[in-house]
Amino acid sequence: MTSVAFLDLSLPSLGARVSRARLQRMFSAHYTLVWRVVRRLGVPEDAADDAAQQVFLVATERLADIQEGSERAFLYGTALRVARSVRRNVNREPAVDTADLLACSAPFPDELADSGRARKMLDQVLDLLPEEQRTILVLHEFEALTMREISEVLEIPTGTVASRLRRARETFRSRVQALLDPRGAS
Amino acid sequence: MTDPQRLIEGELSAVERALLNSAASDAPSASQLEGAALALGLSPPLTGPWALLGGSSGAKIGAAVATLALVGAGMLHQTTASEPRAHSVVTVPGVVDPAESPPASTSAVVEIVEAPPAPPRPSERSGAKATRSGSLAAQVALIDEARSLLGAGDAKSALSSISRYRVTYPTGAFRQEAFLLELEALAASGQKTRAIALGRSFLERYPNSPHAERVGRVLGQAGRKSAP
Repeated sequence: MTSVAFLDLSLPSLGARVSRARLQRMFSAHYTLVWRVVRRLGVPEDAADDAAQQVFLVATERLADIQEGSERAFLYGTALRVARSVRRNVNREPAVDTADLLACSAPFPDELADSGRARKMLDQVLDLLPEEQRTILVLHEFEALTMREISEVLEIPTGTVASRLRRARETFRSRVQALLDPRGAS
Repeated sequence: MTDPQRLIEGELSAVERALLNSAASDAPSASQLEGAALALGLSPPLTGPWALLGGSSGAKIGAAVATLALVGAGMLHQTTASEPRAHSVVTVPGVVDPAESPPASTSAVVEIVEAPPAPPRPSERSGAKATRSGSLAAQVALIDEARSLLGAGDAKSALSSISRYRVTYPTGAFRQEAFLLELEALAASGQKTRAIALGRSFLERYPNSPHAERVGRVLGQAGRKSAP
């Protein structure tokens, strides 16, 4: 019994090593992308690490179900679900109102040279988008996924992706205008 | 289907470009990557000279290094991987609190009549902040409510929501979206003449709006349907 236990621990099975190596490849290639996606989908900075790790924990559990070549689509799809869950949790906490955040920090154009400040405003604008529009905007405009890739991640037809993207762009630009010039532009 | 050009590759205002560009530099720090790798029982992605080999090559080397490390120190890694991980799990389905709804109104506005806008100045900034504070989230909630109703085929209720928006926020930040939704709701409910009048007023008032193209499309459809 002792020798069996020793063998199990000291010599991981070939399957386990292959799985671990595959997970390592996924982590090395996609962790930053996953982290960035959950951030753009509304996960606060202080929860982004946990959310991204959660995505990879799901991947670990489902590794055998993920087809070779579909790793990125799987990770993105899982990231969307995890981000949605975190946002719900955050939204239940009334401490911070999006509007208050905007009122405190919406910058004027000449202040946007600071990318950190611009990013903060970007996230605030994204917070004001309907979720389905935000998701498609993030995947296409920031992660450069193709219509087909988004279609696979969201499991919707490419035509629907295209029409949602058109609306998302309109809404995004309209809301940027609205926030910069709430009394005049819109 | 040909993929559309990304926004960042087309014509944008300076602000829009700054916002879109700002996302590119957002990434976890090296210590965050290391912490994540540790929590997952993996090796951090390679940085520095190894990373110059390119994403896939770097990843392969990283994986090979990780595999060798695993084989060489199987017991240690096995133990690490089976230990409770240093992360907090962030799930939990929740209920999003509905936004506070403003009072209802029975009036429906068709013409675009607004108080003349005054561009904000830096000296007015604190005042503008106070005006916006507490109202944008509620404004967005009402606009989204109208959009959802329209999407569900309930144009009448969508018009009611838009009317409430307009009465509650006569100089609201999302007036263009309200007009667009009203136009679509009017067209969807068969009120073609009013839809066409509103659409034309919109294009006169906001010729450079991000919604101008869609307004034009809706107008075209309404015009065709109302033609004898």
